[in-house]
Amino acid sequence: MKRYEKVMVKKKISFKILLYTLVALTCAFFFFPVFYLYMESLKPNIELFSSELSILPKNFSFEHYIEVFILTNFFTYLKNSLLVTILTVVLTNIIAIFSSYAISRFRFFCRDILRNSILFAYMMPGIVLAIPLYLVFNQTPLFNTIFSLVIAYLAFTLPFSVWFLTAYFDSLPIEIEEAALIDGASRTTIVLRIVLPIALPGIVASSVYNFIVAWNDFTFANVLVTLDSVKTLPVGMSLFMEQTQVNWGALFATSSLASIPSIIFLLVSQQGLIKGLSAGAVKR
Amino acid sequence: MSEPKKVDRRKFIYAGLGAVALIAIGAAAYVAMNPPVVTQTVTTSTTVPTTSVVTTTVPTTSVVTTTIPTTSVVTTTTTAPSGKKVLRWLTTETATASMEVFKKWINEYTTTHPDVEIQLEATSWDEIYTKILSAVAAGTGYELLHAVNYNVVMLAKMDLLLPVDEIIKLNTGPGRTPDEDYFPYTRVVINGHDYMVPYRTGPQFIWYRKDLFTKYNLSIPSTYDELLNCAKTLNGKDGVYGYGLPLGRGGLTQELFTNFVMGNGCKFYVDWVDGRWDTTLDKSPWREKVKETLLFYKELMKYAPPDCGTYSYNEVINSYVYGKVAMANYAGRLLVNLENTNPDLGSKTSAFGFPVGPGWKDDPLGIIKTYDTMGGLRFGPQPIFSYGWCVMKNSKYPYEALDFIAYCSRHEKNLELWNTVPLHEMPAIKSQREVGWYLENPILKKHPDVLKFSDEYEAKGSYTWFAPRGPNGPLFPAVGQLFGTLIITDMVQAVCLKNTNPDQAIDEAATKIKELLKQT
Amino acid sequence: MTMKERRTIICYLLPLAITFSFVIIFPIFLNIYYSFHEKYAFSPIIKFIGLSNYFKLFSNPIFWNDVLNTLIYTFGSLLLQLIIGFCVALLLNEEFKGRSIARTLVILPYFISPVVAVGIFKWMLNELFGVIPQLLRAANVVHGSIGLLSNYAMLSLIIVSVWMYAPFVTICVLAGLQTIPPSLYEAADLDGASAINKLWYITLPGLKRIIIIVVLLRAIWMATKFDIPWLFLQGGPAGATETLPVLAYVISFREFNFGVGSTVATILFLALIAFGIFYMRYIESEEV
Repeated sequence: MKRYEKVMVKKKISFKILLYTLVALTCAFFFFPVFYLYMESLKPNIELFSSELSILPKNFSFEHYIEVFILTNFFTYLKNSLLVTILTVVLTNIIAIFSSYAISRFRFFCRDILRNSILFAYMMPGIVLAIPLYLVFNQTPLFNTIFSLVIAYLAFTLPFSVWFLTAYFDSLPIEIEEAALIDGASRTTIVLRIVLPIALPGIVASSVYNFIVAWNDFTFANVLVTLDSVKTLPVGMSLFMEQTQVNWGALFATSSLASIPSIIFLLVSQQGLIKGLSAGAVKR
Repeated sequence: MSEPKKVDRRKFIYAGLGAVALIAIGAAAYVAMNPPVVTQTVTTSTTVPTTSVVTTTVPTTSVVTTTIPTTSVVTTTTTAPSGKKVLRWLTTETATASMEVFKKWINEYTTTHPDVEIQLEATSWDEIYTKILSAVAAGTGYELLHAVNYNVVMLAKMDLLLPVDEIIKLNTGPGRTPDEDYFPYTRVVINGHDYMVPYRTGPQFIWYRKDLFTKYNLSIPSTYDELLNCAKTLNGKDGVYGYGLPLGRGGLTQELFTNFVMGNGCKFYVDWVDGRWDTTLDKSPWREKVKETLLFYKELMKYAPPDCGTYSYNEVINSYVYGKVAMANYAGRLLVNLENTNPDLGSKTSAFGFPVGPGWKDDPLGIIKTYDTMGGLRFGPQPIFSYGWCVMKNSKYPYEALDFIAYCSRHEKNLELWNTVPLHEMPAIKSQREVGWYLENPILKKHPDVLKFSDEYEAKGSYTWFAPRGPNGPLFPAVGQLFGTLIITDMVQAVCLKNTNPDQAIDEAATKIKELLKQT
Repeated sequence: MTMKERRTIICYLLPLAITFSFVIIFPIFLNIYYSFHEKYAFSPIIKFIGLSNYFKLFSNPIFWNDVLNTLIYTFGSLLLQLIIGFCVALLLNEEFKGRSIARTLVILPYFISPVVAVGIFKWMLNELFGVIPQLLRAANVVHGSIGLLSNYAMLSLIIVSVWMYAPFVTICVLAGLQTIPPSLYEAADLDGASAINKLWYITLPGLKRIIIIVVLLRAIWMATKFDIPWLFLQGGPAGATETLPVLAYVISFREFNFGVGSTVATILFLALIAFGIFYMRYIESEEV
């Protein structure tokens, strides 16, 4: 008995050691570049370009951060990115929730086709969609404003959100809604009062995806918006990366700053994300 | 049994209708956005190499109506919401100090002209094509555009730019004509009109480590072989690679390659052949000369950092500034960065010109000269790239833009810009340069030898056109497109990085150039 | 269906239909339209030339080189993302202290902008100043120079993409793992199943649905990725990392040939549609 227990305990410990090692390696692999980014942004230029191997800075220097704030309108870009992202997420949710509900609950002509083939919208590379969209927006007063970006991002957020939420709604039981219908509630009330609270995890999950699309997009923001006061963070950052003058230190500083909201959002949504995905898309 | 079938068919019909409806909406939108286009007649005279006479109607919007090429340019009834005239300014001068100067100019100008608002947009070299393209396609041009001379040729030939003759005359020194006062090849003159107000030009050099050359008893190379020898000797010593060779997909690759090609007695990649523009790449003797240069490049690559296949302006500058290479080519910006970052290394740096190849004697342009400032050595020519102000015709406030340009291109104002990147940015006007302002600049004071060489280079006429001219003067029209493509870059990369047979690479490039020429 | 219901349906779907037609259908349609025409960037002349653009592309060896690159990039990153993402998800499904911190750290790359990711990897892999060649040299794995960005360009690109998007797979698989009832595992334990048995007979079947979806999504998204290959090496040393989206960009915006550029995009589009249709058919037939 005792020997058996000892062996079991040994197995457990070695298993734990293996687990923690693997976890540590995995975390290192995924986290190291970001960590390195922050470290490099704190190094003065001489250290940055030296031949010796060094990860941590020897002399902490905020010179790059100061450069960023002097040279670019960082806070303008930040504000624009926030606005664009929030608007995109909100607008996508509004459109997607109702459309997904309709596709999930109602029977109408192209319903089944829409369910599966809405993802086909992703099959045209984004880069070639940029110029036609630019042409469209140019004729409208929306040109070079945040709203043009929001609408353009809908091209990337809507297909996934609609598809995902449709699958999610499919997995929700319809008895409550049927009961409410019999009681005389309108569809809209049902959606807002009954379905929404239950579907919140799924909506959070799809919102996370929308956030990432809108916050991190570079291609569209680059083409559609040229005015400095309307630029978003990725485009603002890419100015440091232009050919004749890559200012690596400032690029790292601005990248570090630009990543902070993403990280905050990640921390906030992490729990809900996994829960939301698990309940929804798995059941079809 | 029949029920499911009926439902299926109905579903299918409805699905089809739905799809058609959506496509119809899309098509309707498209047609609404782009009015039907008339195929233009393109006439080219066979005797005189004029530009193709294309009457272009820029896709109209409901706001701006332009028909080119009449002299009346813009009819518009819109004003910016604040009631001000908004001038949009696109620049690639994104150096921080330069941007500060621009903002200062805007502040000063808008204080004295309160009805004008200027919106400055900075972009990188890669993106400028996209931006100009979008602006042209959408019919909303930039009032103020910073462009390099070969791009200006392209835009002017498409009749997208406003002539700027008055400003050119305005800035000319007293008692001189523009032809006398402007450095040759810095203006863009088409059909007798200027289309660009040059605000800067600048030479390129090969910067080198004087201390290492002295240490290893090397003298300044002036031929391909001598350069290879220097690179080989220095490679691996004192922690440096021999030469910071740009082989990436950026612009510097084709710039440097073209410089070397011209030093081998080659004119350009395109010439007026048999009554039309055609590529010279696949014809003797140019073909052999380009091949020689390609093989020289391949050899030189051995003494360059291993990832030089990704190098463009930035990597070359950094590799030299931080002491990783013994020689690197760029314009004055390298020196400015060097002195700002690593002044110690700056004291050990000097420059020389572009070594010539074995075929230099052919010298079709007659501009391969020897230089007293360089000990009687002979160096090759380089095409001149000048940068200037342009005004796009289909912008909203072109005449206000002209006024702003006149304000900025005056000597006192332009001086502020030159001082931000001295030597990289020099006046394009002789009388402005004679004032000698730059002699007071600390960076240039530190390197009088470089300045002397540059002046002698200029005086001997070693700069040349960035594009060939046809028999009666007009420039090769597609030079902007040619420089904008990656044709030459890909040819160099294919030979050096993919080990393609040089003949094959040259043939591929020639085919692509022919394809490009069909566009114009 | 009542009148009222019909109106509700239309109301609910109208915003989607309108948005879709303008921001998705219209640009796609315009590109397909351009692919049958000769259109250069600066001139408004559009000339119908039928399939000429397609033939031109098919006879160009660069096109096939890029097709190969696209296949390598798509399936290379897809495979690695799947394997790594899956294993990491299994790892992070175990109970241990600091699990939520580990999850946060691992998911982080997905939230980072491509501009940032490409910037930092270019810097790390840089021969002269980068930390990875320095580490490799210090560990004596490599002697002298290695030129990661030039000699191993496609591999570096795939590594960047895997780093960025494997967390997406991890998130999805983690979500899927939550839905497998733990009672199944307990029953298997009682029967004395080994870890590998449990993986094969319980975990994988339970995750089947989500893996199917993830494979489809990642395949489509990797194949049409433009910003990462372009920002990283602009199509790489001599076209080594040039994928079809990059080629479309270079042709449209650098050689100013919208006609052929749109053709490249259309070919990719049609190929992906074919892939999507066959994939879904195969899945459905499997399920039946």
